[in-house]
Amino acid sequence: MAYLERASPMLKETLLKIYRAEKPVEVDQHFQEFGSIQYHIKCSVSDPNIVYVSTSTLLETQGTVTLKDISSQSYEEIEKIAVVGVIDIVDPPSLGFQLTLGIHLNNMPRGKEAIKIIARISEIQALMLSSQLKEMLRNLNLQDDSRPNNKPIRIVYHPNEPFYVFKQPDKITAVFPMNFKDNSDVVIATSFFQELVEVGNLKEMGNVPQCSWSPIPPPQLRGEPIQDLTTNSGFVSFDITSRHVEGKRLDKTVWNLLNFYAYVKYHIKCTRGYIQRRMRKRMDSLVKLLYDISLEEEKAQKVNVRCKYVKDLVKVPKGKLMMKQRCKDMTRRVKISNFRIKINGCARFRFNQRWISLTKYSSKPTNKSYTKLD
Amino acid sequence: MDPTSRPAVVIDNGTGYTKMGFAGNVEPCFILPTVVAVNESFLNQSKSSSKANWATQHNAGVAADLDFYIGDEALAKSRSSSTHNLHYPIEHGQVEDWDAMERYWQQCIFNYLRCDPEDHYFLLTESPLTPPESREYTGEILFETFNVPGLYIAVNSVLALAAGYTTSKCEMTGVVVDVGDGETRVVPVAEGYVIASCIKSIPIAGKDVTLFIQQLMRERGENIPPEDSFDVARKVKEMYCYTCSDIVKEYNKHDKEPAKYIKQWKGVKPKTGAPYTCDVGYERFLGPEVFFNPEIYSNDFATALPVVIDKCIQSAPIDTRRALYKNIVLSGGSTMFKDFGRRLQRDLKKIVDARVLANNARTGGEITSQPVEVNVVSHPVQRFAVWFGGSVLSSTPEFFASYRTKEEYEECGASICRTNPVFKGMY
Repeated sequence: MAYLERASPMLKETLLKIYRAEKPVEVDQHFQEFGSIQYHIKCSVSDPNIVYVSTSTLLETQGTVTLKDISSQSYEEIEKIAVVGVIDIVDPPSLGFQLTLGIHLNNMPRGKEAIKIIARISEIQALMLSSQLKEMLRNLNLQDDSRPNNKPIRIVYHPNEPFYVFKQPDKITAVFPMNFKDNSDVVIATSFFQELVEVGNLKEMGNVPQCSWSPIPPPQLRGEPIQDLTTNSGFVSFDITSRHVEGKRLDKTVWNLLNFYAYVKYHIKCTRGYIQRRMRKRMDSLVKLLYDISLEEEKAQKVNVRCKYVKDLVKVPKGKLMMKQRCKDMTRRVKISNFRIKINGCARFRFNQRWISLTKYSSKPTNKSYTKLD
Repeated sequence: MDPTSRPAVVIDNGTGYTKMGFAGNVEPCFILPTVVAVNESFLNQSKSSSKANWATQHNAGVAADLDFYIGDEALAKSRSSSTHNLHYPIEHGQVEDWDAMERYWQQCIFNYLRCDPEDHYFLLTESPLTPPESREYTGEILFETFNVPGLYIAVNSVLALAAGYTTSKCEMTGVVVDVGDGETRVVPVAEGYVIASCIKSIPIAGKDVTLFIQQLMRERGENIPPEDSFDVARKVKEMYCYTCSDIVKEYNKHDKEPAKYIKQWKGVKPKTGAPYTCDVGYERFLGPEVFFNPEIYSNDFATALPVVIDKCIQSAPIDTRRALYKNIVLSGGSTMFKDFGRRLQRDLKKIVDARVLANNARTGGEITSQPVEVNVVSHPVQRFAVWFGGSVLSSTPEFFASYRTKEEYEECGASICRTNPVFKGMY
């Protein structure tokens, strides 16, 4: 799903556009992602070979990692993205940003390599954010089991949405308190979590992290601030074993954890959209029935049919363009006759609108010109 | 952080292309064709299959619901596989297919802009002739499905005027000549309000120019692979076309110095990978000429663009006419031809001067009127002038007060979206 890809689509698109442009373009764009990540791309015509990409984020963590500082490991990984000479880390970063990279376009290798480099540059935020959590998870994994109490570490990726990570004997648990402003969101989310728990704990799922949901906070979080622990949709926890934090899987695990909230919100919005579409479809079919009946009744009088349903009655097989054109003309004419009648009723609304003169037009023109109504 | 401290999201949905991005920027982040490719293989299932089968079919149908693409990916996907069908949600500036439009917005927000809709205010655009029910549906979809904190639906002509603002002049009166991909519209705006009865439209637009160029090249026998010919014609139009001042002289110029005027187009055949070249000659100036002499392209329509603009202004209230002539703003991708503005201004001035002269002659030279100043304004952001206007407007902090907020929506219902106050706060 493109929403949770590591590469930022806007960054990639803009960099590709600058790279592919035949003459120097002037670019100065600010954009935001996920509400808390900001980017600034600057490329000026006077110096067309260097593109400055600045980025910053609001990630805060407590515990062993310092906040807002980029670890040296991230710097190393950034430098690994491309050969020396292509990417420079500009010091100090631009005002208001944590990191500024200068990309030298003339030093970039040609062809597919350049596209790959650009894709990797678009992942810098993912890199920076995950590096802190990766360090933590790695340290937690290697910690001695005999330590009696492990204080949970609080991570804030998006303002007002903290989540906790703490260590238990042979696993690490990540707990997400879920809060929603809208009541229907709460309902959808809670049923989603319960289904997730059911599906996730099936035997066929193999080695996925154990998932559980509870309406009350787990006992390890006793000491945390109370506003973090009041939720209206319970707590979702994932148990991560050491299998999930070794090697390449660490990247994926970390990115998934960081984006869990975003994923849940996306799921809820898609669900709402789906429900609305089904409701609309059902309503359309019911209304169509009504109009079919009224069509039969009104056959004696002038036929006043809703345009949408005429389209349904005149089913056009795909590919028959001529038929389509004739039907389009016909429906347009029907729409004209329909709207003529509609406008009289809508005159009241028109006064509230910004039309200066009472409208004497029809919204759907025939022959693509405006006909005056009499 | 609350939504007012974050930049608003500006989405301009047009018939051909959608421009989207964040406020405060000069150009949109993405310009995508307005098309959705939906996986419809599970749509019409019969219910007579057995219970277990129905459950899996239902699940598959639900999963296929999220399997759709928009923009260029949609076009590529529909060409390569047969499971996806294309839907064009907007026709002639109006939204016809709300399901497709909702899916389009969903992908725009989540996959391209990658923002949470609850964090930003939204500014959408609409054509001046949209019925209020359409605005209501838009508001309903955005507030119900996406939970946006605030929404403003702006008329695209007013935004195009706002794009022409400079620090010294902020005119809210003018004629917007919007030559897009689907249709050309001439819209007079007075003090920020659209004079809807005087809107005139021409059926010739960007797509027709491309078709015309494609036809000319085919008639001359250029060897372009047929499946690419539309794309090649479009690229040729964007790269090489210009507006001439007189067709006959231009033909002569081309004939006298072919080396200077005829350009080469190099392409690669998609199936074999072999490169080919073709010449681009008369199409360079004949393409944009379609606007000024439509009879070379089609027989149904024969009124030139300057004449239509003149008719439109003449049908506007008489006290606004001088102001309208003074501020004719171009917007839309197809106005980007070189010298389009100058040629339009020259032709229009001819018509206006002829009329003024005839008026003076009629009164025997005793009453003369002041000459009418005709001014066609063109500026570098014409291609997405509407988006730019939206970005400029929504980056002023006072503008946040004009948005329709979610609280108002929950209080009064969807009908609040029918009116959007005209924002004059630029002064």
